[in-house]
Amino acid sequence: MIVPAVTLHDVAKAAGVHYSTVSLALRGDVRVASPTRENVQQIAARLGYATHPAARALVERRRSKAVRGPVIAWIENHPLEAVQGSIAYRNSVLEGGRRLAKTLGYECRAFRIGTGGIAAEDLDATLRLAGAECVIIGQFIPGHAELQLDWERYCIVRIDSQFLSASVHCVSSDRIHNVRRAFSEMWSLGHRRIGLCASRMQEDCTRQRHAMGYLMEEESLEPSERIPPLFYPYGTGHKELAEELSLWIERHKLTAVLHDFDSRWLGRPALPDHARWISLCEAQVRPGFRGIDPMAATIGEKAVETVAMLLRTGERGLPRFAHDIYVEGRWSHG
Amino acid sequence: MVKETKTLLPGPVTMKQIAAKAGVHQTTVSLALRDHPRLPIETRKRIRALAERMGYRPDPLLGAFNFHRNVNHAERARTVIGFILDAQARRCFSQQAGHPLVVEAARRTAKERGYSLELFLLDPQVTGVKRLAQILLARGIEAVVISTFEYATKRLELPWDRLSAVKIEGRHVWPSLPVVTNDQYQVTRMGVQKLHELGYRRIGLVAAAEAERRLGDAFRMGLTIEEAKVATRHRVPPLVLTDSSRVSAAETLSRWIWEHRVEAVVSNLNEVTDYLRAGGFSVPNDIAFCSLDLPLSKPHWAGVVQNHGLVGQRAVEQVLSLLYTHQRGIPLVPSVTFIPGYWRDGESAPGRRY
Repeated sequence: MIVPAVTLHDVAKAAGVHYSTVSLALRGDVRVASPTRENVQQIAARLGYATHPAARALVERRRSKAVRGPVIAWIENHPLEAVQGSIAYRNSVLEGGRRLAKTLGYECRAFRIGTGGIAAEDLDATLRLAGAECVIIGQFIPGHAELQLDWERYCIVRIDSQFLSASVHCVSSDRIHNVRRAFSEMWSLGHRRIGLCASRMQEDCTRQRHAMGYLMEEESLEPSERIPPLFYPYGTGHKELAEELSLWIERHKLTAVLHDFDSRWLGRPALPDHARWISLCEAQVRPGFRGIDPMAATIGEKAVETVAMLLRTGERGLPRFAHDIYVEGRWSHG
Repeated sequence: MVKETKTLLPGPVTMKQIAAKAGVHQTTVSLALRDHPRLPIETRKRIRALAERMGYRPDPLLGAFNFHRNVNHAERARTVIGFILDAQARRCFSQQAGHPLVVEAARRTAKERGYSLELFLLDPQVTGVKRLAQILLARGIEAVVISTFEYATKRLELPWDRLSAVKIEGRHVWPSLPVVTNDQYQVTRMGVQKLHELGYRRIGLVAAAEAERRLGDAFRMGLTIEEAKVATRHRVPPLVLTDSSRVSAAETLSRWIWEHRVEAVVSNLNEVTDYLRAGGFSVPNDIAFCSLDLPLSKPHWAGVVQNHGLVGQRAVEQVLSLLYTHQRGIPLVPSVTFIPGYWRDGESAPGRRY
């Protein structure tokens, strides 16, 4: 809820002086006699007067004659190759965010903490120095550097990263919608043995939303017709996964495999003639693929749009109830 | 000297400079940058291209400062946000067309931000879609929130090109505007998790077929993912009540409970407690009950409190966000915002010991 802030005028009324006197007194100007100055400062403190963060930031920037806009810090906690999913996907998300940030008058800068980046405990100082007003937690993954942040300073949004316990608004891909769409498209093409192969790590980062959608689609099948999803553990190498996949495909006689990994990372093991690989995250990144286009750029845009709204309305820090925004993917026939 | 300084430190490009170069008034530039339909498309395009070439950027901090000033000076002509209700949705909200908590919070949020919320009831017998479209245009209303619509409504033909709009629930209704909704997935998962923690097994879900269709199977999906951790023999198939099966609901429910030896019932349908009583079950002695939409009137029940108010608040905030950033019409990529609920312990589901 927005409570109208205490203004200079409120302090002036309480102190029985003109508001310009209040302004001078709060800045410690010697033109105001020191008893008056102290009296005004005390009253301001009692009423809880504070310069509005937006006004402060505006004045600071005007004073420094800077041309650039406020900074959105885009933070990651892992080296790029740690994402078994798609690096191309991550790049499009960031690109989409950057583009909208520029249109809205922001400057978007990426930071990496942990391995190959700044030390986690130095993050806050770095962000202050950069003049960051907003923070986007960009696809953090478990088991890497942890986030140490003076939360109250910033307008914050995360992308995926749902394993983090902090209450932060989230923007993510609508994996329930996407996996159900892919399943029903393949079903209507006549496939009856459709499996899901997903990374435990990605599932932990997204509250098992691929599993949820997939299990719901399987509900309509006879229990004997259902195929247990293949969740591959943290740190699975591409060779191990390829072997396990082949066994799983053969055991369950699959004709279609819905998968969340980057097929360039895995290489695609040979499938029986009639079987198909269906990517849940690559269709846009690799044109010509049949599967889900996750609309990665829109996810980045939504994240920027959300922090921009938080900045406008002055909502910094951790909300009591964080909401999740999901962006629907599109089916691409390939 | 002065001239030189100016070239060295050009400062941000202003709307005034763009206006001078384009040979139009500053107001025209402002309208064009907002892509306002009042200007011909060609003019908008020309001025936007010029602004782009000159390197114009809006100032977000100025926007934030203006927002803060407007909130503190609320006494001015209030712009109206339309809140469109479906008369047929009355049966979803005990005879009211919209959820009272949602409407109340939407109204409050609009007021806090210097707007006013006006309700429009869409009722084919009285005010149809065509008539509503005329009213919105005539009143110059540019922002609307679409309330919950029954599953029967598949399309809503309003002049979307001229409107910034969001929907509450209603992912089944065309067009696919941004949606704000309770997170029924999270609510169900939380209810089932808590019952597990309290020591219950054989948890049964009762859902309404109409709501499941409208909300994309959210209740069953929440149950399925939580029960995936449980041995198959302990799982209970959900009971989905249709309009016709509701007539004999107490009987159906009893049969289902006996057949599957249900220990605890989770449901967003609070009338399930009446069916249980009618079937001769005493809560919590014979069976536990966990509400997935804990009503204010039952503070002693256990269950999940849904943040209905926050749904109304976020819907208004989002439509204002669209208005501020001059986004009208149907977005290219649909999105949905989920609002979480929170748990409350209660005597209808006490902790169990084995």
